[in-house]
Amino acid sequence: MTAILLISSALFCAGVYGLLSQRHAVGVLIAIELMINAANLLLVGFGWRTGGAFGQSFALFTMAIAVAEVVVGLALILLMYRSRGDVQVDQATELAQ
Amino acid sequence: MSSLEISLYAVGSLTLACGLLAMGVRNLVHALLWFGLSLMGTAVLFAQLGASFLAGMQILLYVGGVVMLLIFGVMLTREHEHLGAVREVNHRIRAAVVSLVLFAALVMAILHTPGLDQAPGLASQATAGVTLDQLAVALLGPYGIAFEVLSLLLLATMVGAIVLARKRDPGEPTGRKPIGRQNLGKQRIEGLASPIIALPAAAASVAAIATVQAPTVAVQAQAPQTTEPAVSEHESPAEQPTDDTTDAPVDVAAAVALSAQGDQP
Repeated sequence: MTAILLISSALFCAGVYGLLSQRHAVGVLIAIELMINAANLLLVGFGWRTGGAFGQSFALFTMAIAVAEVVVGLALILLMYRSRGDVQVDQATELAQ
Repeated sequence: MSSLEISLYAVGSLTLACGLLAMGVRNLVHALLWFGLSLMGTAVLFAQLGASFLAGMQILLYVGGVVMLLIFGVMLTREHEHLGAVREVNHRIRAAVVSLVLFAALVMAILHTPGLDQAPGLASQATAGVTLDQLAVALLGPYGIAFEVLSLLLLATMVGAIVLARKRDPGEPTGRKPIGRQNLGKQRIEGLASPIIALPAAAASVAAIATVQAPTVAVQAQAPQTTEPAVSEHESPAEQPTDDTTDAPVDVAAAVALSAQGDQP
């Protein structure tokens, strides 16, 4: 169980690093997916430790929600590209000005 | 350290290395390929933990679906290579410090938690894994409502993605009838009507599910009448773009609102 916790937290921190260091919006989406993946691993690990199907059921729900989030996020990125011409997340500062 | 732990650490370190490479590589397509490898490593971890169905779903959904979709996203938005995919070095060092501090805090919390490796009398069941039958019974039994709401989430996602990503420049040829100013206004209203329809449909079908699952005989006698409009409401947003008459969405919305009121017990 310690192994699962350590691997999952390391993956999550890799996702946090990517979220803070990526500039392309698709890169930010990849980082978010990596963090969701780490959370899924944690759910499956705890479900494995306690027995029963709740961990895997919740991991399946999380997976479906993550896929839906990617679809809407890509639609937003496409819209941002059409209206601005780039998808750099540090360049979209219209609301801050 | 058991053999399972050794293999978990081995596959986990490979997964982590692929994830770190995905976050550090400058080329986004290469980053996506590393990300796919990291997802496959996670699938192997799932399989080692007895979740073979989830391992298959991980490869199908993530490696087959999400990575392909993200590659399409990169290809559709790639005319800005001069700026680079990652931020400048100063910013990356700060990001690394933040994530390392978070990781150190998590590791300290994990190592100071007692009793993590002592399975509480369930070791034999736990290592046997969850069978597909148990998973199916759990998904459609105690988590049935969440399962149905998830299907509504997917429907709303589909409608939202279509509404967001649709091209709506008035000047471009769309292949439909020519768009004047009045028709443009009607089209905007139609585009807005689809999420507006989806919300009462969600409420009505949740009410229908609740009445179907209620155990009394009287409610079950009503159940065929209540489930029927819910099915037709599911189809209405999908049918709507093919409608040529502009009055149809208003009628559908009124019918949905009426049936939603009628469904309340």
